[in-house]
Amino acid sequence: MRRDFNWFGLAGGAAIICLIFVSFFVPWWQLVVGDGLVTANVSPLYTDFNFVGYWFTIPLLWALNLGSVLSMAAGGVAMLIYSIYPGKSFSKNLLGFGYKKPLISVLLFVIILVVLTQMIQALFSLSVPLVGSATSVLPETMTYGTIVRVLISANFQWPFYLATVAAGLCIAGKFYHKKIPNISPPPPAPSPAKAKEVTPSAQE
Amino acid sequence: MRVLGVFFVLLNVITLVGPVLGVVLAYQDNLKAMVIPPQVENMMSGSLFTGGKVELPRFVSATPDLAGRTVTLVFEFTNPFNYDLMVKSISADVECSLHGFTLGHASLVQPTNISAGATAKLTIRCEWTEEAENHFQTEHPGATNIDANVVRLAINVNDITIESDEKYPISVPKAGSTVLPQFVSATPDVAGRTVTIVLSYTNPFDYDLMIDSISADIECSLHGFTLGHASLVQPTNIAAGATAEVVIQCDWTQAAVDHFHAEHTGATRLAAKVVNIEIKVNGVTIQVDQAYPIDVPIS
Repeated sequence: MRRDFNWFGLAGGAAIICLIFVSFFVPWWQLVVGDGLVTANVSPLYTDFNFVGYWFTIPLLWALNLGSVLSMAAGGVAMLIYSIYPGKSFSKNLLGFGYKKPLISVLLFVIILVVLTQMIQALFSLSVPLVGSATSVLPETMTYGTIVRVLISANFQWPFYLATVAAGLCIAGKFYHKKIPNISPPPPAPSPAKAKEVTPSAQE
Repeated sequence: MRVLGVFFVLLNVITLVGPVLGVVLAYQDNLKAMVIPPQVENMMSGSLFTGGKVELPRFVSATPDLAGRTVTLVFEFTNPFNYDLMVKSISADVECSLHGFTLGHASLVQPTNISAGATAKLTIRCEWTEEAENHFQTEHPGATNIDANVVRLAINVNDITIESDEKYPISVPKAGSTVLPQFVSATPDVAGRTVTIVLSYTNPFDYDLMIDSISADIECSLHGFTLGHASLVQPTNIAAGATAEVVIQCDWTQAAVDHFHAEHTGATRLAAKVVNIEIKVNGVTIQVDQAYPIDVPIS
């Protein structure tokens, strides 16, 4: 008996699991102040900061990251199980649960980054680029009259692009689900009236 | 299937709320630490730094070069961080503190790495402008040192540029006057064909100087006529900071003797100047553009 897989879903699920692992080592977005004097490694799955050689993380962010890791892992596993058994009765629930995870992560991540950079700009008049480099002047209230210019560089790293690929694969898997032959809905059964009409002609 | 849907909703809630709740419980005694960890608090209080607080570079010394056209300023800076710092550039102007006159521009000689917690010397070289040299001559004649301020200071540390409007007072040796010897005396020989010129020289450096040779021409100040060639009698060592006498001897040419008779008849002394001076000090040859007036006896 031929077995139908949802290949897009399978690839999406595998990409999610890979993404979780790599995100512990490479951030989705990195902000560097000066020549590595201050570094922020940011992703929905792991975030840490470096200030002149001291690495630290913020406990609340760590908890939110842990929540994301668990949620993404559950989504990835759900996508993998669904993709192997797309015709099972529970598969639609698995797909519905799993396919949105990377998409929501990517969207929320970008929105939060944009909002945060805009907030920093508005509150501290400090221009933080989302991508690229910019020289910003620290507010004089922070520098006691001294002008401090800082070179701020920010860039999305490759795990961010892997996350968008995973999101794309999961969405493709969702659409492909309808095209899997063995789970396509059966044609509607003929109504009894129509059946009667058909019977005499059949007798003839 | 409805049960599975409810399970997934619950899973969503648990995965997101669970860790946050766990952290809140763990930090229930100090909820502030949940957002501001102890490391950040240490940073704010300054105790993260090895030496306590960040201090501005301390002025150590100012040493002129052999020709007196540049001055090397040495500052000492202690890196208070547990992180190596790379001082990539320093740029500043040096201003006469009395007249506010800009004397020259200073810049870091070479990028300097300062290891975590270490103290390093930052060497900055300042080049006097021509206007500065004129300013020294007109406004500070006779002075060997001038009180100056380092202003418009811009320091690039690890690509963070700090610009300060503050003035950092320093004392700098005056351009031109520090290296060149002062005229002391000129004594003719019995035959009147040579003159021995004694110059006094104070070594402004913190190392010994060996004057290997001096070569110069003596010229009549009135007529610009070359009277003879002068050279160092013997190599002279001058200890760091010491003052020594440097003796040079000049042989008058026959043309010079004729010039004395023709143009300075009856004169016993002649206003002359030492020109085309070439001094070899510690293996370095310096050519001095300036002319130094001397008073020589003639017979």
